Amino acid sequence: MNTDRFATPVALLLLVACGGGAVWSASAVQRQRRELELVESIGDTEGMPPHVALVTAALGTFRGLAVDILWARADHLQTEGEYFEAQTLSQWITALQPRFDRVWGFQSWNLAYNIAAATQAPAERWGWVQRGISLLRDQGIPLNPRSPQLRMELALLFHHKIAGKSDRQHWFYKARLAREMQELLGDITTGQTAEQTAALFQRVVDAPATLAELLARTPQAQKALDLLAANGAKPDEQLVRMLGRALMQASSIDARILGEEKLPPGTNVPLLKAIRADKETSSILFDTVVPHLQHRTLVEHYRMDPARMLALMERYGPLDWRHAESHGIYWMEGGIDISRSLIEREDVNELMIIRSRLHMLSDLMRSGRVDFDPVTNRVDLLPDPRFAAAYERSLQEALDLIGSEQGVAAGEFGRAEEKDLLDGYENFLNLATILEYLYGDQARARASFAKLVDLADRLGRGDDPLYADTLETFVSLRIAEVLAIDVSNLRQFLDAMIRRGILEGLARGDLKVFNRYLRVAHSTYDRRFAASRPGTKFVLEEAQLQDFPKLVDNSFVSVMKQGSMPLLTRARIWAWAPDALRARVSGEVADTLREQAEAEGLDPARAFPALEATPETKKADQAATSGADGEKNDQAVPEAEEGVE
Amino acid sequence: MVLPLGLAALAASAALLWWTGRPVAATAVAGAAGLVGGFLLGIILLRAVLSPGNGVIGVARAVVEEAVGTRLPLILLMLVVMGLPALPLVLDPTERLEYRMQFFLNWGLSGTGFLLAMVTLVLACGSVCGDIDTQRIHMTLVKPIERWQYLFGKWLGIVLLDLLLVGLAGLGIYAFTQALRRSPELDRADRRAVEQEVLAARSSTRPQHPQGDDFNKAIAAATARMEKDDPSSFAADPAGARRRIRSQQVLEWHTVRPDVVSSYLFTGLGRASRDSQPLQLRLKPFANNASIDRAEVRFAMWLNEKPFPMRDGKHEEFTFTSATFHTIALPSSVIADDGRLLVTIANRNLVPPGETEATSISFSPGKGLEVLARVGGFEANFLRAMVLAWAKLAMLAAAALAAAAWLGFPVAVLTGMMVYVSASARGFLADAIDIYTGLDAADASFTAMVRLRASLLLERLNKLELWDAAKTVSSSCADGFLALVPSFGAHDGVTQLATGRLISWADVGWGLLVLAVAYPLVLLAVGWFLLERRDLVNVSGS
Repeated sequence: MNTDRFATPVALLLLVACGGGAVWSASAVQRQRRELELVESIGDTEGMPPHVALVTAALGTFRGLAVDILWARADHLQTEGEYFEAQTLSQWITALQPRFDRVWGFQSWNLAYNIAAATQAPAERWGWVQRGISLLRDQGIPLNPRSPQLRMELALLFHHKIAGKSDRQHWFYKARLAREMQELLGDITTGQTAEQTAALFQRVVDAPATLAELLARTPQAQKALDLLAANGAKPDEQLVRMLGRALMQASSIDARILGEEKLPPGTNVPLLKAIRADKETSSILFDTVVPHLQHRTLVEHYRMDPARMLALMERYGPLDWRHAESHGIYWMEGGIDISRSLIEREDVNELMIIRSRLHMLSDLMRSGRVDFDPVTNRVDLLPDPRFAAAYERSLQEALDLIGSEQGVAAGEFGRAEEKDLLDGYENFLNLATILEYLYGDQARARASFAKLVDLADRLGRGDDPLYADTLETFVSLRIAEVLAIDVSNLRQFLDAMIRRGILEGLARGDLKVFNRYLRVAHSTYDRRFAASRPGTKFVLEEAQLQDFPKLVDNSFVSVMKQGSMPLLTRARIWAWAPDALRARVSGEVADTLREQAEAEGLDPARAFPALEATPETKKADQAATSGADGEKNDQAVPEAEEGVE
Repeated sequence: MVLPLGLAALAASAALLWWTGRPVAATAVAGAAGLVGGFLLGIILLRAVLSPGNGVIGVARAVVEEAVGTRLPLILLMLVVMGLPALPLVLDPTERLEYRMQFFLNWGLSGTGFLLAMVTLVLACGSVCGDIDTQRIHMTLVKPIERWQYLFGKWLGIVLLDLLLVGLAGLGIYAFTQALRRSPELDRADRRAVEQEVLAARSSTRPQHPQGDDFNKAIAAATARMEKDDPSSFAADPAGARRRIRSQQVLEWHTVRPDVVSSYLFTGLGRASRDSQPLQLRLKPFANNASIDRAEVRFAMWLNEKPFPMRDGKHEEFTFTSATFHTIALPSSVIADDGRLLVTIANRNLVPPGETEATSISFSPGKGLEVLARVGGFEANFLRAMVLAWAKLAMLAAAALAAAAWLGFPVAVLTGMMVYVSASARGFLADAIDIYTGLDAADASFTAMVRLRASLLLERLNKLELWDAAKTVSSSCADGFLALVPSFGAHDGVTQLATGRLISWADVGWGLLVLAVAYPLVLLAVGWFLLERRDLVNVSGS
């Protein structure tokens, strides 16, 4: 009885004490959980779009069930090959799990890879890739700003899906991205130094973010806005794109060859006329309103911070925003910054992020110079050895991080080590040496080669004969491997090199590149079979090789007769080919080419103009087509002229 | 009186909205007015049809009156009217029109089906349980009416009302589909897909793999080999082993090896040829042995021995992603006069590094290689889909009545919902149960499955894994329940309709027989059995 009398008050007392203790400690525990990032605030509706917040709050406990059903349905329909709900279901699923970053990553990957792969039309396929990008960039990342993973996923989409070659429509994607960005920002890299490019972009960075700010800063911009209003235009993204399209068309080489110099559809012709007529207002428009619109579009449409973009350009070199790798680097950098600020980094594979960034920089060195023609949608990605220095800087920073106290997390593998990056560095140096030799300057190529030899030594591969000879030998041997050519088939190797020179040099208007490829070909030809062993002409006969200039002529004729190559490309090659070369092969190909041009509706006189060689041009051109490029190169091809003569 | 007035107000509002330049809102309000008006007319018609009778007909008429009195059907119609115009609003307007239409049809019909199912459950359970609880049932049963007639009358009234509701909701969905059809398309291919692949009824033709003596002999030889090489696993499940061998043989026939050109014959395409209707070859190719995810599959194709496609005088090859469905549009001119189409495929896969020959290509038997040809219009297909939707409600009404015959209202509704969910997601639930218990029942026969479960239970009990043993028992019960419930997926008109596939009259007939006749008969018989034994005097009013 006594026990009963005391039990209730004691129990009540304990209850109150426990409850009070729980209340007292709850806020501290919660704060600590947040600080240590132990919780994912799945139910937190802050910053969510209204419909997402509503669904999140309204469904309550049933949200999990709804998510399960939607996942099961999405999976089932995908198995059945039905994609009509894919987009909507992924939106719903992510709306129900907005703070779970893996869901965004998965859904985005699903749209850009699985569903895109099931479609055939390039435009439709591109639509799915864009949806995948948009899901992450416009929704996933804003809702999960502290997730390095999502930024990395987005960067990899740009790197792998657009910049890579795994998708057979990758050229279409590259062209679409190049068009989109050139419409917006123009071509600010071609023919510019890194500093000039950054200076051009600085205008976009400095531009005001809002119209009100623009007018407050430069009241005369009102005049430009009035001009727009008077011609039915609004200061928005559409306007800046319309102006961009008109400018692109005007500067298109292909448009000139094709005779399509008229304005693209959708152009506001009265506005363009008004702009041309009023120089003062047009100057205000292009100096103030257009940079503001570019700034705004980058922020609102692409969710990119122009100041951060400029900082990357200053850090890494002339990043061309028409190139997918530039976008990849932008998002990857964001991922690294966030990751470094996290307390709990066990789940983050920073090593992968860093490696990917290095890979992107290496890719930019291989293909960072963008040449895009909007009329034919031709996009060429040319090597830009300027990114070699950026790669090395970035590598050094990564090595410093690895050596730092905080280290670099490698996910489930613990902490990264220096050797994790060195194999990639060796590949980079191989490529850098070749590209600098072909596209950059000799001194840098030699420096890269010296580093490569040193690194090979450190990695225990120093005795490889490849590294024991000269730079020229290394390039001529390694290039075959890089370009997947069998050197034992000498004639094929030489033909491949000459063709490569024609396509990467002449087709793109770069005689220097053309000549350097020829020099590599000539170096191989000369070193192995001719001048290095005077009097051993029989080797040439055995290999059934003709004189080098004749080989060049044959390869050139073969390219010009290649029916599968677009006539426009051949017209560009013809336009840039040395006069003597054209004169030598003219009789063999000119008539056919002109007939083909006529059949395709081109003006033969514009596409394949006739030419009469003068003695002066002939001499210079012969030098070019024999392997010497006018630069001092005595060491590389000392007997070149003799061989050709 | 209120309803006609409301109807007139809706009609006036629609006119006003139209006149003030809001055509979309006007269409929605006019649709609402149309549906409510249709409902009123339908009820008048039902009353007329059910007016003369007593007994079963009388009970049916009472159910209809009861339903009208609860306003539940009207609320449902309002939900449909409000929900349908809202559905296209959740879709991305930049999405392909083809996809938007398919989404609308799918979710419009499924959503309406769900609402109708809920109304059916509530009406059926409420009607019987209400009669019992309020003792109204005694007033009915004192008349010369048997208890089975009482239950059958209830079912008849509900299914007739469902018929009216399905018809009206179907009309609404059809009208909105036509409105959506007029929306701007993304490109010409999009419009073509809408007209030829969504708003159409396409039959599927698949190549027939060889049957007969040779095929059977090959299976027998392979079976004998297995029995000799691996007697223990063969003895464990001989029927399953035979089935697997047969499947393997069929798969091999669907495989294009690198050294052989394979041909597949599709027959019965005469109508598409006569009507000059384009065809679609739908395939799901796999690059065998390729370790790469989503590897590419390359092949060249000939149609009736003519290379296809030809572009600029060249025979082009196809390059598709492995393990994904692809559709190739074919002109009707490729079909021979006798309606045959011979599709010949040559493997053009690349030789993977380290291999000596290219990987084989295989197509999943069944849906993995089929020709779709238009054989009818959307309207008739839509009608057939609605008939199937109604058949499902008929079955559900019978299940709800059977539950209400011996359970209270809340439990009866829950039981009905359980039947509905199980029937709607039977395949998914069966898979989930297998995964839950760690068994893959895909290839196992019924007896093999029972044996497997029993041995698993014994094994778990022997190891004293009691929780796992309990899981095995509970999943066996769940499997047993699922075996009793029909699969709505097997009579699915909605996905068929949305993907422009023919719902044949044979499918509809079979669906009606199973869902609207056989199951209701059994369920009502069970309900009658239970109601007969129920002490209604002691239950009523308690």
